[in-house]
Amino acid sequence: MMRVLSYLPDSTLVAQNKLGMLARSAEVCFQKCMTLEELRTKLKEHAGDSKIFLFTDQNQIEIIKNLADEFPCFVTVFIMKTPLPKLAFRLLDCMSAQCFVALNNEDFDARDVLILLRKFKTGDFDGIAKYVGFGAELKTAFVHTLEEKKHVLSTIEDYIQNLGEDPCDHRFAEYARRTCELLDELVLNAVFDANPRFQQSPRNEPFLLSESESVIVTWGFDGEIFGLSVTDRFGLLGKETIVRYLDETFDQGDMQTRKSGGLGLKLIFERLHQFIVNVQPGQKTEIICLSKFERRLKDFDNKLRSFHFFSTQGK
Amino acid sequence: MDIEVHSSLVAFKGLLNEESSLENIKQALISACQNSGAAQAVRLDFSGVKRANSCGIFAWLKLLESLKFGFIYVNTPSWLVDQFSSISDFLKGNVTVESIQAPFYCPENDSHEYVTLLIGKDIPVQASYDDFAIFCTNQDGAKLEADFEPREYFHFISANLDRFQGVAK
Repeated sequence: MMRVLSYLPDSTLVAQNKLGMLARSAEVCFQKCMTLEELRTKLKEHAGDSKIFLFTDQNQIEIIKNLADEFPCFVTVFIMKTPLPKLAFRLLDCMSAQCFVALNNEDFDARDVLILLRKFKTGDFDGIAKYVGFGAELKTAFVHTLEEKKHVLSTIEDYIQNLGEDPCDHRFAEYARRTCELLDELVLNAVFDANPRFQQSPRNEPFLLSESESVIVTWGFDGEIFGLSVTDRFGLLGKETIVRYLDETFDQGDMQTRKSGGLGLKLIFERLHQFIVNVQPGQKTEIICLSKFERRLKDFDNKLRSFHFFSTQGK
Repeated sequence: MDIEVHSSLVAFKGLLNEESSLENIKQALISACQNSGAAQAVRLDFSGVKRANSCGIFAWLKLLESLKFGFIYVNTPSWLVDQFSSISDFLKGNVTVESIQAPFYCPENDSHEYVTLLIGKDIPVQASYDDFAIFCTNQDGAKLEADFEPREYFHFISANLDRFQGVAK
């Protein structure tokens, strides 16, 4: 049985009630805890449940770490008011933390949370179609070589630029540029970090992937959300790796002795609004990036980013 | 990536990525440095570069660190301005920035455009841009609003105050 607990002492009542509404809509058992004692009692009471998901505020990180030692059975979803890179260093040893939902203007995106709840409930994690609305035409390309990487980049660049009324409008050119930067990094990671055959190769070398190693790129726009996914066939990416590289205090050492820039993940995270990672260990990693092409670039930039990590391990 | 040397200025066009020839870039930088005479400083114009990836950025930073002369970024495109603020390695040693491009929005025409801003003139050098506002007009005289947060976009200036106070003098 899946159970959702909330302990949100720093969130507005509106946000707490919205979470309750979404949980009931997803038909999962939802219980609101007003005090830490109440939360502890509920965790103890339901320790036998197979799936307990706790929604809590970012201010509770230390409390959650302690609770996780006591009750190792729950998964935490943090509601974030602060950019994740600023808090990442405190989350590195918070093993129960799995999803980070952005709170913008004291509100979170209903779709963000509802899909998360349904994924937890069903265990069906894969696919960008869960996020990009009906009506969007999803396109797919396979990347085996540097030339194919260049081709898919240019296809997506044209696709986004053509969304604008005027091809010279800098807004869509800017979004096309940001999306291509993000995609370029994801494909590089899928080739040179995920694939054991290329892990020791310099990232500036041409590559040739076999059919079974190919990187799959899927994208689509539903009029509100632009979605892009990049899938590798190895499933090696861990949540800890992502959080470590997002940490703004992470020192990567001297430029001359680094193996790679280590710049990719930060660059990716700044160019989207939702970052979703679905891992089937040893089989595949699917990274889904969702963006809202706001009318003003600064509205795009000002939004906090969400990060959700799902792994079939321990599902 | 295409590279052109005009006296002490090196202008780049295309993409900065794994295919960019570091050897060609290095030769162009050395040549421009020789042209700069006693100044020993190269002006770098990336306005023709559409974007970069981490391979290109990493290689570029390593190259600059290996060359011991001065560098001045001019007409810096927004993708590179973002990098200045997020990667401290960009503004190390004898490196500075003269001018940047910034995105502006025209409410009258619902259009977006980039405006080149001179540091020390259009953008005062200051420790904080929390309450800073900047307005421009376009060629038709229509009012433009900054389509960026000055606190974030100019962070590389406030985080390197000593470096930019030198530029502003």
